[in-house]
Amino acid sequence: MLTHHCLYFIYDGSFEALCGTLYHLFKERLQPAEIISASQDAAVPLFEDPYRFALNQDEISIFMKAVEDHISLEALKKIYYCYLSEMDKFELAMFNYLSLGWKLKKDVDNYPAHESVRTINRMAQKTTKEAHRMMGLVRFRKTAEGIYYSEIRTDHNVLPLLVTHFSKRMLGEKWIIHDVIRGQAGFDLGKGTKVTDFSLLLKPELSPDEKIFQKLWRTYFAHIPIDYRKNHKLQRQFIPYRYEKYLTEFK
Amino acid sequence: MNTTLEKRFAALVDSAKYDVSCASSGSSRGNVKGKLGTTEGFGICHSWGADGRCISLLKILQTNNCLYDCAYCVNRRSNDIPRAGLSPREIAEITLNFYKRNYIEGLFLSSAIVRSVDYTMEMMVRSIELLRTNYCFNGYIHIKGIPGADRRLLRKAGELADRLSVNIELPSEKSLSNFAPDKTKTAILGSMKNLTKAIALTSDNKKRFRKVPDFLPAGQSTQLIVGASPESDRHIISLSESLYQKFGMRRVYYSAYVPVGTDKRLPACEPPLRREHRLYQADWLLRFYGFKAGEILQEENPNFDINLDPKTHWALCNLHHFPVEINTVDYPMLLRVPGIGVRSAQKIFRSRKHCRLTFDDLKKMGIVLKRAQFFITASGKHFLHKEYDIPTLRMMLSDNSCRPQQKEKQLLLFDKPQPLLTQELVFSALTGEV
Repeated sequence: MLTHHCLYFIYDGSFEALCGTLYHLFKERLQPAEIISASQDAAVPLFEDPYRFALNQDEISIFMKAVEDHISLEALKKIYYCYLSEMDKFELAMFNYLSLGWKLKKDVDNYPAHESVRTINRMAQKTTKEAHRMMGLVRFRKTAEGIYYSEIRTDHNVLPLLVTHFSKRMLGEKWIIHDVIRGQAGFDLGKGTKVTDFSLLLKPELSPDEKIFQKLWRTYFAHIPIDYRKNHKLQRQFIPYRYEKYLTEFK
Repeated sequence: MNTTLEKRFAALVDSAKYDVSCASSGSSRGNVKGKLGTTEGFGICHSWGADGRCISLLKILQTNNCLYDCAYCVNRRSNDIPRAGLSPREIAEITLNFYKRNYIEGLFLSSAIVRSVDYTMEMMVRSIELLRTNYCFNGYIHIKGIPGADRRLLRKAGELADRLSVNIELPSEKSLSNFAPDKTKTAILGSMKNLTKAIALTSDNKKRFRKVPDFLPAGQSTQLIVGASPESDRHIISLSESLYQKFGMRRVYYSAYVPVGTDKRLPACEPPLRREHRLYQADWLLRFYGFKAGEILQEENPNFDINLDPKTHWALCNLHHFPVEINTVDYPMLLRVPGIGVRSAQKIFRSRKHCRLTFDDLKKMGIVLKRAQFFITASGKHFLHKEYDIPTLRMMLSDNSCRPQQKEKQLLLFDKPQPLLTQELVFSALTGEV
């Protein structure tokens, strides 16, 4: 039962559910101690019984529209990126930022000195920076069926952002991006873009020309640096060791 | 695997790599039905080479079999290198397949001069036309303009490509006539002017009519070689300033001269990487920090202090402007504080409306005070409780990773070049934060 002593709240893990929860929190003027996601093995305090709100789609839409209209579109994007960052206590960061946002309205983003704004900026930036980096580092391999397949292993959940980017870039081609850590994939196999749960059963057979173009790319990569400017330390700073095994040019 | 294709490809990449322009930014084009690819206004780095430079385009020559004999160029007629060429179809196939695998954002096509300037230009235009129309490629294309090529060919190239560059290479008419007599100042500037007019006309038409086809949406750029010829830094920066103002150039690139031949007229020293870095920093001061070339370097001191970035150098020569109060200083002056880049200045400017900033606030906002601390006060207080004289300040603000000034030494046969750039310096070069 919801009382004003409830401090712990739980939601099913999706962005919509989180929006619905925030809608209720602001409507009832509650101050949460923690907002816990049911999908993770988040530590629920031992003697607390987190409250789960009953959600409906209308309330979720009202909430998102309210953020966009009363604060700004930028704020809505920021809380979405913050959600995708999956960082510790991101739900509370969103709550604090929005609390400030209702007061300052669109001016909230002009106040980077405030702790709530700094925290959300930091989290949102982690997501956007990784997404931008992955837009360059995703490497597709062409399978025998003519599908371009790629695997990613990212710290934050950037798959939705990558899917938006590649659905435009690879229009007309069939492609799959498999987020190995989260067991999901974004793809377009000719019938529109989708993101679903995914796991690979068999290693795909590659098309015959795949080897040719991989070899050409490695040749390009080996010949393009200017010898006098060789600086492996600098290269290492841009491409840490952990990315190397997924890049064609380093294999 | 077709080994001749691989060998030809390798030879042409080796020939193309000294053109340092690598950006895939400046053009924002969404997807078009029936075509493959988009361009992103912000540019995307796909990888980083062993020299630490970003790789975002397929940088290649159509052919490296050159008629000219420019002293600084690896492809000069009198150099003994493997000569090769690729057909337009081969270039298109490689570009498309690299693009689909997300190795590149697009193509950077240049060429050695074959038969004549117009013949070469037409050959390149035919390649990109094939790529755009037959192969329906909608990604980024950067094409080189051959100085002196027919106006109509340059216009055609502009309709197909995102960016076109005509390289000046040597910063004065005298150096051009000494080292590259086949290229004249008139031909180079004439081609640039031609394109500037066409870009301005398109921009004008777009304000009046609805459907106007794009013409070089990412504009023009050019390149200057640093260290091959005796011009001072002041000369180079003034030249860059007029290129930006008179030709509407988007970028000027500076390439430290790498000894690629045995021409005794050119220096055989280590590439002046530090000097190149200072030029990039000065270039950013011109474009984003409101500086004029005359403020950055004067006749009495026409070259950069290798140990100091140009902004700090300016600040030390103009200490009467400092310290500035962070909470009240106007935006143009805030940009001139050493160590405060454009993003930091914007953060400070926006936060000021809400609260009175202290040094703690600045640190929490992520503003680096390493250099700025000597030039600012916050709420009336200095960060350090001591005053320093100019020589001490100069010493404290010098780049730590800088070795003491040495005369450029003659390269020994088995000398291993020492890396001079760190990520901090490259980050400064890329973002312009000085």
